[in-house]
Amino acid sequence: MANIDLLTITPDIILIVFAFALLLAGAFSKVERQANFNMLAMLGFGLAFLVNLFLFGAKKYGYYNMFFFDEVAGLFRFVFYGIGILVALISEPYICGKIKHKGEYYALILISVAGMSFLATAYDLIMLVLGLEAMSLSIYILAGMFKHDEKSVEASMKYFLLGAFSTAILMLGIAFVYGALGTTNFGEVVTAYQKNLGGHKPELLIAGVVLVLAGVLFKIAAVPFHMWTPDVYEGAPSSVTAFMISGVKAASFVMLIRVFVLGLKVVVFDLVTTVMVISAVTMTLGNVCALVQKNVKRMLAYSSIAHAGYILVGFVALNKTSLAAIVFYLIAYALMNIGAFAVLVLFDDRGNYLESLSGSGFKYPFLGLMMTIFMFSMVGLPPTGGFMGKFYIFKGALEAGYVWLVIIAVLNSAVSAYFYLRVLVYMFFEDFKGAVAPSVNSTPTTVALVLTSIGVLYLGIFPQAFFELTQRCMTYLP
Amino acid sequence: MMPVYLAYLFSGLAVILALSTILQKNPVYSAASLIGVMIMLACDYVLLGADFIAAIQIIVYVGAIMVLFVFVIMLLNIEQAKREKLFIPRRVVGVLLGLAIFLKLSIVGYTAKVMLSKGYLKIPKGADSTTAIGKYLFSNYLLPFEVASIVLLVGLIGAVVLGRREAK
Repeated sequence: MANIDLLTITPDIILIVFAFALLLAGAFSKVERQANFNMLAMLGFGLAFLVNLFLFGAKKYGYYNMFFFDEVAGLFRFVFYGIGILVALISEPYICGKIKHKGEYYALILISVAGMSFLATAYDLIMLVLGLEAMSLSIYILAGMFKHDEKSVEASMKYFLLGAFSTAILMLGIAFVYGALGTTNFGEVVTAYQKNLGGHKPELLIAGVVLVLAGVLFKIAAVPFHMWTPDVYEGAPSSVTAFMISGVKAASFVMLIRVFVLGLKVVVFDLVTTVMVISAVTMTLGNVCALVQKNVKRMLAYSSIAHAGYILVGFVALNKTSLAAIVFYLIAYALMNIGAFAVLVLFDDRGNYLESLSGSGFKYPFLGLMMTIFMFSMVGLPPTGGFMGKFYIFKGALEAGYVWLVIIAVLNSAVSAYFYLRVLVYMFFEDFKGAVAPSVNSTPTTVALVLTSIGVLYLGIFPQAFFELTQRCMTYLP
Repeated sequence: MMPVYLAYLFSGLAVILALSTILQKNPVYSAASLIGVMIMLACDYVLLGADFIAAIQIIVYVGAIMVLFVFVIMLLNIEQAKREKLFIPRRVVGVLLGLAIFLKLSIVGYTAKVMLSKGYLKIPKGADSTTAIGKYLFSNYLLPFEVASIVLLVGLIGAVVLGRREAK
């Protein structure tokens, strides 16, 4: 079954072609004339989005079963390309004058999104690793793009070393799985399991699967593997952090779903207890550490750990509602995080500390309103997407009977209200100290803010149609 | 059984050259001996029917890595090593590590032999490995091959972007 079908990977080819074009344009033009590079990147993402719209709904195997495009992959491709558009929008005013390699900056974002897309369509562990590496390597570089900022370089170095380590663990796990099953292809796992192993699970297979899970959980930033998160998210340029916090998170969850629910489904129920404990610890630790943070970026980093915990609840429940809820939650989460970071980006990193945000809410009412929407969504208050995401995740978990896990998650959400709403308290109930001012050329970022806030509110007020779509797409479980 | 005698010949030469690598006083002679070891190992691979690995061994180790070694030696202008006593305490660690690696490789070799005699592992007959690898690379592993090129490109971009000196 060769089926070398270029059409199915056309969106990724478009992204890579645009990346090459940007690299060349960056090499042959002056920095002052590169102001429209974000438009070019957005054009690439937009085209890819349209082609994917045309492909969406089909089910296609291809490239000797290395590649499987289905509704889940299509849905996640929309998420990644959408994140790409929003990040390209918020980047330009922020990096202008700070980064001399604009061509490379946008090219790396394009390649990284192409890597995520390959991750989402992978049907073989080899493709999975290559997609993961294309994504991660680009992000290691992007995190260090502020070369004169110590923290940015530190973030890049830290993320690179730990990420390389985690990939090594993942590869070791894949080697073990291959040693036990004799295949890395998702389509052959069940046959190999019954034929080669006779329906038994040797220790080698379990060890391999646990190592693969560790590698995936590192990217998700779940608790035993979360140590890098605050430093990296704080140090990296804010636009890149917005990209990491939304894109990489979504990519790692699609990796989790595809490896364990579609691929190695023979072992997925052996992992549920482990993931359940990890999920409970992750959300608690993330929320407790976020309570004491003075830096908004750092606080959002810990909050991303906590959110990873909530989303893992959906994986623990492992039914159709909860898997669809994971997709829903990831989209809402991406929108609210990119929105919150867009506000920080607009203040040009001068509003990263809570004190420096004092009074900015009434001084700049539009930004104050936006931040209110995003923070409400992060807490999970109606009528926002964050609320509906949590609602569906908990609904799935209750259907599967994990009542105590839902209770822990709800208590955690209540705790999280303190540090999210504290941002608003500083913005609205303190005197303005003149510490922050929006950057001059702010139109693209404002567009991104409007888009993300509309998205968050839409998902909060009319969630039904969208949730039904995600549920229809999630075909891995009956 | 000509290949067996050839295998003993090449392996014996490899051992002699390896000893020469660590006993030579002049570092350039040591490097040259190491190149000899690599070439002898490549000959062993040919005898085992792994001609692709043999070619890669020559191209990568002899062609790239050893040339770098020699360059470094030449550039740093390392003088002849002083004659040391053969047995000094810190060498014990080295000897122990060497023995550990030897033991490990012996176990691997023995396991492979047992596996072969039980028929669990099979050496494909009559196929030449370069053809097989080429076929797989451009059929089954076509997409991973192409994506790997993207991953390498990202590495290149990273080296240029992060390594380049910028005037503040």
